[in-house]
Amino acid sequence: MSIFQLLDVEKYYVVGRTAAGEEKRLKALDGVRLEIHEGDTVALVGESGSGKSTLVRLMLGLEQPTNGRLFFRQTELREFDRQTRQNFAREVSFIYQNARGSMNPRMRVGDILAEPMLLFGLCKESAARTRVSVLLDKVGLSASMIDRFPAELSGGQVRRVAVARALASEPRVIIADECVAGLDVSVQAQLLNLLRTLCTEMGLTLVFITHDLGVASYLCQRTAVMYLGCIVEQGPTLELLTKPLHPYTRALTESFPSFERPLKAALSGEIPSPINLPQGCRFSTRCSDVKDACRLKDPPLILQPDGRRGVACLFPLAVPVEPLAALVEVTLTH
Amino acid sequence: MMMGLLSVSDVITSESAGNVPKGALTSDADTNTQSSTERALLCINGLTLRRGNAAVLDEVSLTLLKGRTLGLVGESGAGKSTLAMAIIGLLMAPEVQLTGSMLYQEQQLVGLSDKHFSKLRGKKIGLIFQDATTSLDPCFTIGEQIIEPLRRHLGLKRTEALERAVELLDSVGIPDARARLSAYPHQLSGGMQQRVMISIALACSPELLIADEPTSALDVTVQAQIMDLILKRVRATGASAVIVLHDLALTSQVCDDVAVMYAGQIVETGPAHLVLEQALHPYTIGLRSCVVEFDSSELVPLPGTVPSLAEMPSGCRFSSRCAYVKPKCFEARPPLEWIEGRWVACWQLDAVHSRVMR
Amino acid sequence: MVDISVSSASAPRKNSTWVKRWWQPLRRQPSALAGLSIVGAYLVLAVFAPVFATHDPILQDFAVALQPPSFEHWLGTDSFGQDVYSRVLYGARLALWIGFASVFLGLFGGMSIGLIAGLVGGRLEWALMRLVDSILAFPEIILAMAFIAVLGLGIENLIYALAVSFVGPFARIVRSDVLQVKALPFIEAAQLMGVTSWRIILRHLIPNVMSSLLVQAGIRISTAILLASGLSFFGIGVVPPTPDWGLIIAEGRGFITMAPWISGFPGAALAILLIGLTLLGDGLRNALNPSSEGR
Repeated sequence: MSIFQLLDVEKYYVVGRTAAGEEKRLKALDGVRLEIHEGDTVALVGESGSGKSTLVRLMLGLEQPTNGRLFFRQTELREFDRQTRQNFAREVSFIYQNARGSMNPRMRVGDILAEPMLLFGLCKESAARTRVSVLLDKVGLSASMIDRFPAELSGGQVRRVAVARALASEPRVIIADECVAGLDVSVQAQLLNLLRTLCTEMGLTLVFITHDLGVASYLCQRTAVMYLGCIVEQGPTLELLTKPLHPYTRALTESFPSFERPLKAALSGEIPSPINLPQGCRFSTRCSDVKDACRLKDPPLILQPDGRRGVACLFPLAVPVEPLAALVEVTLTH
Repeated sequence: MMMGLLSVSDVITSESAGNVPKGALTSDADTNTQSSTERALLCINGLTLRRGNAAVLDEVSLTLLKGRTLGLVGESGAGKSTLAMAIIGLLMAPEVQLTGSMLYQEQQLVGLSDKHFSKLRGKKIGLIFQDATTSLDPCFTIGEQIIEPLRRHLGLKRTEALERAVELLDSVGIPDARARLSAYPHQLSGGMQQRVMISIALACSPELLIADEPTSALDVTVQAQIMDLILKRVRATGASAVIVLHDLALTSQVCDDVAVMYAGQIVETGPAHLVLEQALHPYTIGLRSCVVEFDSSELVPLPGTVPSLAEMPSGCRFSSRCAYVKPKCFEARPPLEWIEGRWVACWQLDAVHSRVMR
Repeated sequence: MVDISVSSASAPRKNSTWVKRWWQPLRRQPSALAGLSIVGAYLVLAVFAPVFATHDPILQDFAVALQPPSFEHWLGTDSFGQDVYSRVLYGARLALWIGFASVFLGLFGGMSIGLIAGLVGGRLEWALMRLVDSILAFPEIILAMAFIAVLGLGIENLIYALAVSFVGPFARIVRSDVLQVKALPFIEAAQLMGVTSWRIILRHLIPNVMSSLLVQAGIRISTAILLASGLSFFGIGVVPPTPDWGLIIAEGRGFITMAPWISGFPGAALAILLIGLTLLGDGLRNALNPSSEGR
């Protein structure tokens, strides 16, 4: 059952004009194709400028794509009517990176958590307090938190409240933006365990933005690696990390600090500006295996024959059984 | 984890090990004490830093030898940044009270005036902050900021200093270095800014480099580049380094030695690979099992959080969260003992040992 | 699940956070406490003026005119034989009333303009802000004088005139606060959840704009009182024989050498109240500022 479908989604911003009078475009997303099914746990991995945050904003309907189409349960986001929009808000919860900032500092935790419950008519006001206590317990916080303000909570606690709020509307999908970044390792571990348990227990679909490959491997079955506005590789997380097909993925895994491998500066140079994308393959300026053909053609994301992995590279690292599988067209059942 | 055959009773305590300085990070336990003190660049003994009533650093002792890199790891509130700032004299009376001893070569740093410290800073001790964006002055060009220490400490003339600045920028991998001299910090990316910070820190070829989370604000591929750069430059000049990090895996790859801090105290210190991969202290073990790796099946987080300074338990500060805690742990603070090639402070090492062996 | 609640504080009551947020930080600053006691004392005296007064403040008795402080008249009498003490007391009442009323009205007006400007944006915001700019182009006292000239003298008109001159600053403050708060993540989070715009404004936006606004309002009360006294001093404020400090000071001007108590006491009363309000205002501002030493 497909939850999200993204078809060649592009998003660019006009940031001025060149001397010749043409538009200067900042391409935050340059053609993304992605499908997320019910129960999937997908990590969107990328560094700054990859477009992962923009992608999620489009998925949430906060902004509209410049080109391409975005579907939620077969309905295009652009064409949401009031009722669909409300259903969407209830089914899809978002956890912000800035957990503390995403909560009204003048509201108590109890009210913050009760708001979605009352909004979606999940309970009566009289029953709200009990429900909130149950919810707090689920995320490992005591009921005494109900009367506190977000400013009084520690970093780990406030993230748990953010998770609790995401769960309050009884969603089917949780989208989270770097919600464990910047935490102490033990607090991060607690939160990761919590998320993992909740996802398995409740059968949630999870879309998790992170720059940390370890976190991606712990939480998500599938990973999509993004670079300069495109998905360059996607597939089962563990396979992707241990046997990467795209040179960028390989560089990411090699740069990730590990106890076993010595530190290696796998990637040189700086990320190009999204206003001036490189000719041909966007990774060609930094790829250690670059060939002439790479500078001429921008490779599309091609699914491997088994359908599990996709890579956007003219010369992927492991030669697949059949080099060029046909692009699997996404069929829409209307 | 493979433990050696030593049991706790065979331990060499600091008293019986002759005058091996506490925290001396020698891999060979019976190294000649004379040579280890000669090679010591920084000798910290019983350093306590108080802010008001609270002891933010509590009797910290460690030794940094010439040419070695020491990593300071721990969670928030452990005091690692505080220690780094204290070493370089950015935390002084009257905001804080420092007691104990910090010997830099033969010079006592505790109680040193700011005037004398500023002679050391930049020239003998270089400093790299976490966030280059806020550490570089946005009103001055890169060139101005690099030549400032050069002119101040080395007395170079302006043209000489500018030439040296170009060399420095080149050596940290900034393309088109000469043109970059007239750029302002905001015109550079985060990675580039950090490289500039490194070049400023290394401008006068210091003997000691102090870096406070130098790559935390950077992407992982840039982090690898920057850490690689720092290491190369430090090794090339034979300098020592104290690097504050929160990433244990990174620390094990980058640092020769490591000091694990908890609530203002050093709980375990020794060669990095040894301490982090064959940890003895329950806190280090706990930290290690929280690190997310590609093949982590189950993370075992430490229960609770670091207690505030007002709620610190008596005796061993980790006792409120330790799985091996016994009544003795509340009575007195465990001293650092030399066991299996590292210093560790724990009363229950026997229990930890046997549990891990199973 | 592990309980990781940070402190073992007792179950918080509804008002304990109010106490924590306002009272405790205030209590730590001696100057703020001094301010609070001064203002508090004045409030008590003003509210209970009829009880504390010894004479009718506008009762004239030329037989006892220009008498120094005595047992009969604690602060002496003025040139009309009116009891200075009672006039000063009723003057406190008037000053505080004018101060609060004009600031409140100005706040109301300014907030409406600022809210609309900040929320709607576009051309309307531009137009409203230019209107505010034109109000702000005049010094407050000139603006007030102009309105008095149009409306006439008297307490009510004085209040309206002062209120108008406060609309400008408040509108600006509210608009910039609204713009700031509007961009914060929790507003977007509420929108994502599907909370209606009205509820976002009332429940999320306004409460976060109010606290700094209230502190600004408090500070402006002293401005209002000073302005009102000034206008009355010039004779373009309240109508005699209303017991207004400015008016009393003006009346005593001609007798400064002979009977300094006529101008002296209301002047001192005004000065002390203003100091008290300033101290309190500073204290409140520091208390609400999380990064200051008060916390």
